[in-house]
Amino acid sequence: MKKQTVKLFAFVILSSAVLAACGKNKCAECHYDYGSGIVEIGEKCGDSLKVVEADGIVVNDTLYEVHCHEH
Amino acid sequence: MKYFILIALAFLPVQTIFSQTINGSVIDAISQSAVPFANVIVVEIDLGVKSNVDGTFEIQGKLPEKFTLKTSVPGYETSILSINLQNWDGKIVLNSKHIELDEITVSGPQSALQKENAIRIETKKLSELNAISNVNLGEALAQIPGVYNTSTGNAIAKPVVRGLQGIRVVSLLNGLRIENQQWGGDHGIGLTDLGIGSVEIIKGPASLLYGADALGGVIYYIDEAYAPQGKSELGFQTLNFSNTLGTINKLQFKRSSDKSRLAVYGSYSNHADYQLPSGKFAENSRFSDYNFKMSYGMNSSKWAMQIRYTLNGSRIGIPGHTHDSIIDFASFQSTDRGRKLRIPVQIFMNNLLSVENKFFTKRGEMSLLLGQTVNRLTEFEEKNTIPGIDMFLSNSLYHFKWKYNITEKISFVSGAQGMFQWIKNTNKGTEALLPNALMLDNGIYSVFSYHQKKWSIQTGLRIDQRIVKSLTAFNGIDKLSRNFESINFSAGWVRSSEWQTFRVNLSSGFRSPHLSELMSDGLHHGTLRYEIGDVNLKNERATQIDISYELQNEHFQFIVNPFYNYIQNFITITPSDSMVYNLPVFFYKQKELVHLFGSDFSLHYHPHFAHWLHLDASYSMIQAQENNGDAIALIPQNRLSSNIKFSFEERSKFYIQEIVFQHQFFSQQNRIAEYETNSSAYNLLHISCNIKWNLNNPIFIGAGVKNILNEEYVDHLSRLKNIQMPHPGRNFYVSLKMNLITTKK
Repeated sequence: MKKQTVKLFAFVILSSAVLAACGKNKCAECHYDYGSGIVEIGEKCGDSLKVVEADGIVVNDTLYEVHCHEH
Repeated sequence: MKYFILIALAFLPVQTIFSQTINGSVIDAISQSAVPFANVIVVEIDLGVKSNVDGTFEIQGKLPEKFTLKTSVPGYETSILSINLQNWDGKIVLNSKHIELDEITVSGPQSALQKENAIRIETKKLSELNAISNVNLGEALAQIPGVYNTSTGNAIAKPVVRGLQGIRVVSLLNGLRIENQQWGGDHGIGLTDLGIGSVEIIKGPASLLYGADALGGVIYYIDEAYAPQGKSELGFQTLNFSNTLGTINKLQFKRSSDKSRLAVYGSYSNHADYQLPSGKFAENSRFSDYNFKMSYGMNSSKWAMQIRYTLNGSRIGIPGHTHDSIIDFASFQSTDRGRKLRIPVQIFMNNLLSVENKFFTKRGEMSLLLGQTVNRLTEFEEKNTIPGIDMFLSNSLYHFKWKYNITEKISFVSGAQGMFQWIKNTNKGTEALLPNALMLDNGIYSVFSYHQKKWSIQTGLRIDQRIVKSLTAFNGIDKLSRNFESINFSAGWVRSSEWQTFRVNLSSGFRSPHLSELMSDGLHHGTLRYEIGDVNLKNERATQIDISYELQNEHFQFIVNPFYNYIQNFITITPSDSMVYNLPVFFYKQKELVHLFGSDFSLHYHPHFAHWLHLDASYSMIQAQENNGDAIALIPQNRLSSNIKFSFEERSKFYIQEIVFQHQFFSQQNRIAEYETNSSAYNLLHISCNIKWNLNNPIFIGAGVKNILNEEYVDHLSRLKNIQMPHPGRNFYVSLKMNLITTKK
């Protein structure tokens, strides 16, 4: 019984770790609005996604807000 | 936290008490034959055993000198005995009954039989509410007369009691008040049914024990019983739904000895977008959650302690999100089903910790419950990595309660209760709905009870104070500091005989405006509206009269429960014709007087000639209006619910336990407030079949269909009504529940 209990707790802890790890390296397709259309800038993941969402993108000295959506 | 643990430990008494062994037997009142496998529980300390094949049982451990013994087994009336060990012969006599008429309640002023309470307390076992499986706890609660569910798809469900919801409904888990940002229309219960055994509902402000806010009522969740004494159990349950391609998996471990009891639970659920009756999918209605729960109990003959911890984490897609000024409803429905979370998404984390110590005296008991809850709410709206909203809510609570029996007929319960709440926006969120703020609640109460043979009176008084302080100026509003005080009462009378119970209760309650109502000024993506508060709002005050009449015999039960709730300074969130960021602007306003009235009816018939048949029906009706007759928004549709249950006896190891048909009719709602729209009537039909395979470790198999007719409907309380998003279509489910291991010591 003790072995079973240890196995159960090991399973729970392992599952939690796997679940917690999920989604850390998130990826999304990004674009910015230009005129009446949009300009795709491709897929961004992890830290680069974070940076582009926070800072936007500078094109020809103009700062554009970037929108990213998972695909 | 350090001080909290020290205070909790300070209440651990050090004493040497010798163990006792109690031997008893459970017998049938008429045949005097043994009743095997009855659950015998010492209520005060949650210690239970199962009677043997010959009806005998043995309880070992340190027991209070006087305690309440609850004995239950299917086919018999639950027995509640007040035991004094010095003069008890060990016999428990059970009367054969086909309808469960009475239950012991714990959320009332006394742990008493329902028929002795001057407040009507609705008690339901979760297994009963889930006879037809539900995706969430809110759906299960909505089986109870007078209780409804306001939902955002499958993921977010909030109970509505007598037409009131959100902050006006106080939820408690084993006495611990759950504070989880329930002011937000899109913030759910923050709890699943994991490890919960039953629920008690006090409708309206009748209870003085739980403080401010409960104008709609109190929902009191009670944990499942521990394993029977001397046993260890390892159990597993899985539920699979076709409509969301969803699964709910649960694992539980319980162990109980004569000295201590432990229960550990874990669960994980994951659902894709739900399917509409048209075959399309409600885009971004996907969600997942994980839960962990632990309870530990120990006792001596003069003291009992329970430590409980619950963790709930949810990731919820928000469907129907748009900033477009012209909304295309079809754009929220997709031909493809998605499961991967994407923005906008709401991430919830709830931690609930409580330590309860009870001290038994010759004439009563004293208890101290200390609790800490921490809630974190993060909403990602426009950006995947930068939250729009990120806020903490920390709540530290205490509840001291003293129950004292002056004589056999006269008793009182007095107590002091309070909480200290801290709301904080982290610096990660780009927006804030509320300023950083503190809230301090303190209250004292006393309730006296007088019992005669057939009738009882309960009357009490409560004094409360709430201080609300914002720590920062917010959207141009200066720092705020408000003090709210209130005195409330409850007085009730109940007369009960074997066949009928008549009860009248008059009570008052109050709710001080929440910070969100006072100081909101921002975009709330979850509710799709721009909300503006009012710092000058006053206390809401409610006065309710509640009458109930119950007629019952061995085969029949009829209950009628009318009420009238008169609320002064009723706060509503009122839509306007202004728009900000293409979302409608809503203002918090106060209505001078609101009348809420209605009734619940329920009927249970179990014919003598067909003991395998149970017929249940209930009807709930609610109306709410201002003094001038104008309707109040978001009042549920009247509901007629009918159940036919066929239950079968065990004739072989593999047998059908029950087949349940349920029909629900929701009538049209055309009493609507300004800017609200009518809701059409609809019918729902569900079926379930539950099978037991009685091996050494029994296996329970369930299968069923919800919304058999694939009815396309939008409930009046659905938060997706503004985008005309229907509820889920036909939903098949299968479930499997088994004990993997059961060991005796």
